[in-house]
Amino acid sequence: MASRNKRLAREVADCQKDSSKSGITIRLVHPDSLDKFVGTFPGPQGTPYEGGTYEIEIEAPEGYPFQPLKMRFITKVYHPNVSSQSGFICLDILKTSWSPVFTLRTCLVSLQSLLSTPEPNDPQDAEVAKVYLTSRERFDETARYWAQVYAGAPSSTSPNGASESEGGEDKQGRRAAQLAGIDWGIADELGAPWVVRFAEMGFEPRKVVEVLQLLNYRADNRERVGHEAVLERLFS
Amino acid sequence: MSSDNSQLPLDQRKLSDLTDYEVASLTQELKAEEASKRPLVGEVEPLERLSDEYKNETFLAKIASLQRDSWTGLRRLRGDGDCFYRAFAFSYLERLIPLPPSAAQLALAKVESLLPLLDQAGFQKDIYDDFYEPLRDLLLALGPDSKLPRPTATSLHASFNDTETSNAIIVFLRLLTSAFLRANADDFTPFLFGLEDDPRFMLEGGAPTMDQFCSFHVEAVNKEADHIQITALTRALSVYTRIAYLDQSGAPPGGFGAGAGENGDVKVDFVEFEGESEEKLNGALLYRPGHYDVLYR
Repeated sequence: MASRNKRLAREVADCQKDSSKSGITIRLVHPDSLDKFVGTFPGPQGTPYEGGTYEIEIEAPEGYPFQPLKMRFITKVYHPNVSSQSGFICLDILKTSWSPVFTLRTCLVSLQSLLSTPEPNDPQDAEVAKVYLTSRERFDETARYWAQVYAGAPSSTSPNGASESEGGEDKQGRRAAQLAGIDWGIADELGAPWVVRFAEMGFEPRKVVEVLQLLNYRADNRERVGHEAVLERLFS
Repeated sequence: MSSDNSQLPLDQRKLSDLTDYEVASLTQELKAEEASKRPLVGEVEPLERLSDEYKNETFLAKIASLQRDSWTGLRRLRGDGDCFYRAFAFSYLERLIPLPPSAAQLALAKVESLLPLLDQAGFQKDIYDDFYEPLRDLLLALGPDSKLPRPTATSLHASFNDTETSNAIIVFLRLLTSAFLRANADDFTPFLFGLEDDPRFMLEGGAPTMDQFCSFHVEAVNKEADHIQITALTRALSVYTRIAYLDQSGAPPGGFGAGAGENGDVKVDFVEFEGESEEKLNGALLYRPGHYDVLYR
């Protein structure tokens, strides 16, 4: 136990020393305990996560460094190997391939590099992995959007120059869908403005899309279904 | 009814009520519990006790053949993925006890000479120093300049049953093995193997690179040592090691029926590592499939 604490204290101090260079920070959750930490690292350059800052919950077990650190994303991240709901991570070095030479800092670096090199064939979040494998463009766009909303990445000046106001509702619909981690292709097809309208009433976008799909609330059919029917379903 | 039941801990429920998954986790729990009851390093016990555990005639004949070769004692070690390194470390240090202090001094100098390989392999000095300390302290205590009482078999046994000391020594040996493999990658790479169907190695045609091999099969906790790791570690430290393989090999077809010959026909294979080393010492390790113990004459 004594050498565990000595090592952890040294690790935290070392990381503070070079944090301006690496962008990686570690702080104690309780100032007098070396059990829980919060680490942060910048999203890797050249990825949809660029510009974002990712917060990680870290727990050092009593048997550290002979037992692996437990790590979880606090910041929501759209990535095949991270649960979009819970932040749980699928990474072998945190499980069966743990080595006692790994440190708080090297594990954060590994997570940072996991963001640049997803392993969609060994996913934590099967839905996200499916999108990654079938439509990289859509995956990148959603991941980038999550980075902006949750990880504080600056909004990109969009490449085709479309501004917020132009087709604003349409864009918002896509965003609402992206935020909920749902396929915006489907949301779009349903009529993004409608998705937004119901979502703005406070319903979960994922559920809105589900209900609209169920009722086939689209195009000419909208009038026949009626928005009361949608609301009824949403409230049920 | 079964819902009341499912509130009970797994080991208090009827086996037939459990799902496959629950049976699997129960097995895992029992194994871990069983392993943790056993001391990391046991006392020396008579080798013949091993005969009580086997009905298999090949095994029994081999144990008898070991006894005829005057192997009499066995020190059992906890059966986890670390047991080779634990067995090696214990017997390496125990063999130094009756030797003059200069032997330990020499051994320490050898270890020190390997430290630059650890740096080359990219291990951080302040990290590996923590793991090195317990081994270095034991070698120093066995050496000529020690002011501490000289370790005995009893004190060594106690040190190795201290989880932290034991873990640190094992990790340090893993790092030495890894660093030596990396430094001699040209010699060892042709012998690398991958676990079949391990998706991590698929892209490389099934065989891991040296870096992958060292990360996944040497440095990672609880990963068993195979021939290649054993060769690397004994060569790195120039420590003569021999391993008695107590396994099924050499059983006559059809087993030992009447007239199949005397049991003496079956010999235990000893494999020697680092055979060029000058000091041929008396110890050996005993391998049974998946496990290593220490053997004594």
